[in-house]
Amino acid sequence: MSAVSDVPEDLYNPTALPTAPPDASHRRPALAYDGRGREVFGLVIGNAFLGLVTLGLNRFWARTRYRRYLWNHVSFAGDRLEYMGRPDELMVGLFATGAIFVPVFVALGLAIDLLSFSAPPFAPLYQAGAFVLIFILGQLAAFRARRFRLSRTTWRGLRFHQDGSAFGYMLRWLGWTVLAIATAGLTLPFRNKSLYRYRMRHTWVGDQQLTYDDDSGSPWRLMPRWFLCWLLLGPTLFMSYAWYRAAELRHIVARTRLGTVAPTVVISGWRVLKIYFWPVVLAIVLVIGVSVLANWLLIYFIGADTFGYGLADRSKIPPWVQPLLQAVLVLLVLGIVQQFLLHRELRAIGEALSLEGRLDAAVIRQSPVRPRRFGEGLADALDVGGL
Amino acid sequence: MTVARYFDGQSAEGRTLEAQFTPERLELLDAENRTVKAWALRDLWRSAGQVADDRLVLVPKDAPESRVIIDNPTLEYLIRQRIADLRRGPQSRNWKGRLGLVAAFVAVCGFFIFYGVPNLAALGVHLIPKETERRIGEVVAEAVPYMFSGKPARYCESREGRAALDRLLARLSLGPSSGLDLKVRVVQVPIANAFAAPGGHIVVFSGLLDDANEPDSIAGILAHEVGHVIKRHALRRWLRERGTTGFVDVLIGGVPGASVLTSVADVALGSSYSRADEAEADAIALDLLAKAGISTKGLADFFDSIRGQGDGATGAWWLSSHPPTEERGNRARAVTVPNATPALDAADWQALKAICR
Ligand SMILES: [Zn+2]
Repeated sequence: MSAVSDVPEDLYNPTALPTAPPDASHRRPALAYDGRGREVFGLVIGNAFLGLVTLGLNRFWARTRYRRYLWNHVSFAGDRLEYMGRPDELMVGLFATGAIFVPVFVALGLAIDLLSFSAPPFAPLYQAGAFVLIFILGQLAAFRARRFRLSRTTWRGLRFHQDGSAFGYMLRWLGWTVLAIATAGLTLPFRNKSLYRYRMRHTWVGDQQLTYDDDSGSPWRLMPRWFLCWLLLGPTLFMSYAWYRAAELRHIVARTRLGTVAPTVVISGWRVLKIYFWPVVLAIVLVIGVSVLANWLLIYFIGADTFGYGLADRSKIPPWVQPLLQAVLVLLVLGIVQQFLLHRELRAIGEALSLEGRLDAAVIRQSPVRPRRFGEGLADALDVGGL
Repeated sequence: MTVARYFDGQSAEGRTLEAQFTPERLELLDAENRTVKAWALRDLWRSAGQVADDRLVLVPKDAPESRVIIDNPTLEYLIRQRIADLRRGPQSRNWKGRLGLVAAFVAVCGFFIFYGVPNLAALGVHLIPKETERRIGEVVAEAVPYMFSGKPARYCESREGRAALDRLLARLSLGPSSGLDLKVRVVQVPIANAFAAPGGHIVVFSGLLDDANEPDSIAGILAHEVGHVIKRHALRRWLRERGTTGFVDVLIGGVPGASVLTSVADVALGSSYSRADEAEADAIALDLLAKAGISTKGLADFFDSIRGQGDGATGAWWLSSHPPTEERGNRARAVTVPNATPALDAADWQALKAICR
């Protein structure tokens, strides 16, 4: 200690230093989130501002900074998670994906044009079709992105890992979603449980696989409540979903296991509603405000012809000003709200969860799977990463 | 005594050890004061993933899965003096590397958008058979007036007007014998505009005929659109804009709002190409006019007349979808056609202007 000479005197006093924290390994482990709203907000706003200045070039760094913060404020058994991914991995990942998906997007665009121009009244239909296609593909991308994020997540130096097939996940998502739509939403509990279970069962902490306890009750238990909520969706402007969602979280999250460690979940419908209510209201108000602000210019933009070679153009304002303004503002606003929402979700989960059972840390060993070098490009391209 | 927890990167079970810092080294000692682990400080990173300030997490450079965790913020302050120059890691790049990466990213994007896409589009034009191009053009020629007026296109076909139009085309050597397979039509839209769709479809808006003061203007405009047809500009532009759209979509994420942003990129980028295209079409137009013995003044006057309406906002002209018309007018005026006669006689001119009635 004497080597440290340039620090205040009282710091030498051994009693001024807290003693070692008790090793939490063999007791009931705790899962906690201690991120602060103000810090997250500052981080997100700062990233958004830098994004404006750098025309979005900072996104890889912004995302990394944001994840480091979120991850590091989640702690399990007293130790914080660390996000060890690097921005350049994201950048290279996007490039690798682009090589495949730029041609796909271009072909899709050409096809939509041809179809739209041969039957103009159906043009919105083709656009919607392409959107649905991209959305389905987005599920595949999201699953792959989760694999990348987990492979860059460490706890006590041990890597997380996700196996399972992204394509298989996409098919499951598609099947369950089509079924839910076909049944007007009544099969939603089964869909949500099935997809959650697939994600959990393919998640590994070090060499330990998470499991899902299927024996202690099926989603049929949720059906009476879901049916009631389903009836009330209209009258309550979809807010009854929060009441159902709370029960669903209590049901499915409580059936997740890490060895013998099992969570109990205490969360009310009000709490779920509280997570989403203000962010959603804020998003709606801001998006409408931003759109109305810029909308009166839109008419000039519609006049812009893609195919023809117009000789004269009567618009007085350069036609790209309004949509540029609107798009940038809307994307900015939605991005900020979405990132803030994730923080609120994490905070609610941290409050709601408590863990039962003993954690035998010695059992958990390093993941034998080497992480991939790059990742997440597709999710980046489709913007389904969310994080 | 400073307590550290050491995780060896193999197990979640850690060891609680005593940490001893010297100006150069960190040693971890067990209860019997034996050295378990020791590093030179320069062989340690501060973990890049550790941002909360309630503990210090060190990562040995030679074992990036190991962790030394010191759960003590005061200690963190204490040893900040020693580890000020410890970098966060593992990291692959310093600021120069990062800057290089960004530069490479921008360069590749720029190269692709400004060089790759236009050239691929020019290549793609040759891959599309003329027959396909003609069919694309057909639907475009129907759809564009619809976009302008919100109504299905109504084509003007008065017999005298049609005959006058055909005579004008014949005079420009653009009749059926030219091998160009042109399909020139007048559509009832009260906007002074004309466009060339892929495959030889040329559509003149009736508003253009209403505004024109002399047949030479219309002859010039037709010749200009024919220039686009000969060079297959419309097809190339379509391929180019779809290429840019696809690229930007992937780059910024295919969210709904982004597609608007993409269209913006189209307009901004498409116009800079169209300036070159317009110049090319103008050159062909002046050539056709001179060969037909029609004065280029009509076209020049038309360019002058749309200058006031179109690219009014100075400073924005380079991004607006039409090239600077003053320059185009002057270029047209510079061509003198000896022994020029009006493109149409008075009777034909009246018939053409009345084609929609
Ligand atoms: Zn032109």
